[in-house]
Amino acid sequence: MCLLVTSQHHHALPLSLSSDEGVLLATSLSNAVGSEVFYAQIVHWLLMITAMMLPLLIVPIRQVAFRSYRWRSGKAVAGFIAGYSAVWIITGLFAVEFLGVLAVTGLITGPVTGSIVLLAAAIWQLSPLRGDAMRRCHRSVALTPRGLAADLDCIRFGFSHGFACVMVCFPLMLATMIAMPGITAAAVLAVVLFFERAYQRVYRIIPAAVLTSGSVALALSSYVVLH
Amino acid sequence: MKPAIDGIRVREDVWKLAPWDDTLLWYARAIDSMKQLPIGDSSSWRYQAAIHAYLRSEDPFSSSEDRLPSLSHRRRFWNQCQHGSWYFLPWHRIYLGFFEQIVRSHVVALGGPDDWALPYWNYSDEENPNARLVRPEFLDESLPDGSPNSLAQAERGPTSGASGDFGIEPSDTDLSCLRTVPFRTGRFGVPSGFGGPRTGFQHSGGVIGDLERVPHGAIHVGVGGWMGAFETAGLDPLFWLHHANIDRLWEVWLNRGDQFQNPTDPSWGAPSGTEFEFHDATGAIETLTADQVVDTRAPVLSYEYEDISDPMPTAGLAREELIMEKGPAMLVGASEETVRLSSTPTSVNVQIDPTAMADNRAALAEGEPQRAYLNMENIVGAERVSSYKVFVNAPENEPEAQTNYAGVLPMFGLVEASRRDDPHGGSGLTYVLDITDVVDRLKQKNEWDDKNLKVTFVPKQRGQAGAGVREGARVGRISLYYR
Repeated sequence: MCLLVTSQHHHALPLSLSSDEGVLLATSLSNAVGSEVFYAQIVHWLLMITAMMLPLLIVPIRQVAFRSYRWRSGKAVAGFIAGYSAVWIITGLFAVEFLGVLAVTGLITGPVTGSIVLLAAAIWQLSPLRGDAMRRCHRSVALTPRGLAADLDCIRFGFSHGFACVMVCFPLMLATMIAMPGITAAAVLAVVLFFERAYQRVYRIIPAAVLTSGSVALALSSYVVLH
Repeated sequence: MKPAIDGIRVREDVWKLAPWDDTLLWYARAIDSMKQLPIGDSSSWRYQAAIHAYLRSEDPFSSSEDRLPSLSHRRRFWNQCQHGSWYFLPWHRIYLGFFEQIVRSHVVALGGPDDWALPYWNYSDEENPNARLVRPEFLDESLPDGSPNSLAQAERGPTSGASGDFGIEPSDTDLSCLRTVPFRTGRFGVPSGFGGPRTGFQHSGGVIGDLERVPHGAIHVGVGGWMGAFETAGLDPLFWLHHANIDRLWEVWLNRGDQFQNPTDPSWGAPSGTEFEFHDATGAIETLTADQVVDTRAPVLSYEYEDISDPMPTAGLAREELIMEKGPAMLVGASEETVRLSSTPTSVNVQIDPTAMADNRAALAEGEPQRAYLNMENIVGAERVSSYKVFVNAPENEPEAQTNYAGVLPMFGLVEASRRDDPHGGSGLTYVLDITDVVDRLKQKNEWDDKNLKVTFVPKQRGQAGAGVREGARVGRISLYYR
């Protein structure tokens, strides 16, 4: 499910771009909009988000469904998902652009870069800002029962939930994609995020410890290679 | 004071103790002793209160000389109280157990009895006309020997003179919660059971359980002052007697019959349930899970209550409608806008949706009784507020008609649940009242309309002095669920 990029230096990266495609995206995103590559990336991105985030959305989706009249619960859930997906699509555009730039400039070609981004992600993991976003992931809201206001409430709730989700998960996803590209790391991250969300008090420290360990491991491997 | 038998200490009804009984006298002396210790000492009075919750800006004893424990220590051991959760009862039982052990260690060090046990405040005792009053020992400024009385050293709400009358009413001490089965539920729109909803570690949030709402929350807000807030409640010596009674009511509930059972889910207790850490009287860390404290006679607790008889044997049947095998409740009506509560009665119209009603009728099996639940969702507020009484379809000229009475919203924990750093991001409180009986009564009187209902909130205007009625609370949505 993870997207793969191949840079000019033939490093497997998390987006499935050839070097030319990477150049295309890195040079100008606007040129890529409308291209097959562009849409493929967005579809792949959404598939990845669906696989990783769906288990985390069970609680808010149930909330939206059961706090709506049964005859409009499907519409309410669709509104929530639309708002939620919109945030991740925007984030995906950024990811495609950002990784494309890194691929072209060759900045993600070594374990040193990987070590640094993992360490940065570990620090973010323990930051108050992320803690605040995590708490917002557990938020419930009062929904207007019907009409346009009800639809907008669901979309707004999806959007704010998606934004909190991006704050919580995206930096870790990005760091993993840069430092340890591949489906295995993505799958491990998805499991860790799920348990962290479900048991935030117990598991909050675990992802930070995993990321720090990864950072140290990459730094050590870099040291061994250099010496 | 009753002696322990075979190592099992007896928690006694405080109103049945003689004036300045040894239980109260030693409690007062031990509190004095605990207050001499710094806040960083786990056996100190302030540390014990901080386990429940701590906020420096709310600490009435805060001083520049305080040396608080490290941040990691505080995260691990402070702000641990469990509310809106199926851990509400077991967590507070463990909390009281170690508190009692610590008080006892101070009592013994002062030369007192080694079988001292916490008394409980049975404010619901219908045979005691003074039950709802605070005992004089918690109001007198001095002990019999003339020394200062630590039992009275707390900020509380306004009283009627020195009578101990804080305005606690029968609706605050109502024991209808004892009829609720099961212990917990996990469905939208229905009450969360006797003990609270299934959750993980939960400082606040979730639908408040029936016992936690009344009498627990109503007494907190009724006494007011320090008792009215998570962060200061444990600083009032009454807090511990109040929670001993809540703990006793858990035993009363279990004693009522076979259908009154604790959760059997593996995730409630060991091995997968949440573990709670406390310090014992020696300062050693103890870790316990809910299933380890279901028996009060277990070695780690070693106490029993003087009286766990059923206070309502003639109304003894359980409410069986909450049985979890039944399907989810269905939303049939909801308010369109946020409702701002104030110091005067506030009425709100809740429109019932005809399509939702038809869906609900179609989902009901032939002859199956319909249950009605009134949800007050996402109540938020920045200030302490009084409890509110809720009435359904109350007449204009009689807003507090008993026929229309649905229940009390105590609002205990409102400010805490509204903060952004709350575990649920400031979602606020959610209460669910079973109004099936009210609806039936109104239908009999031809005062029920399947298209619209009026919900009236009447403030009790008590609690912390001057609080609650300036800004008021806001109810995110009022909704009606049928099942």
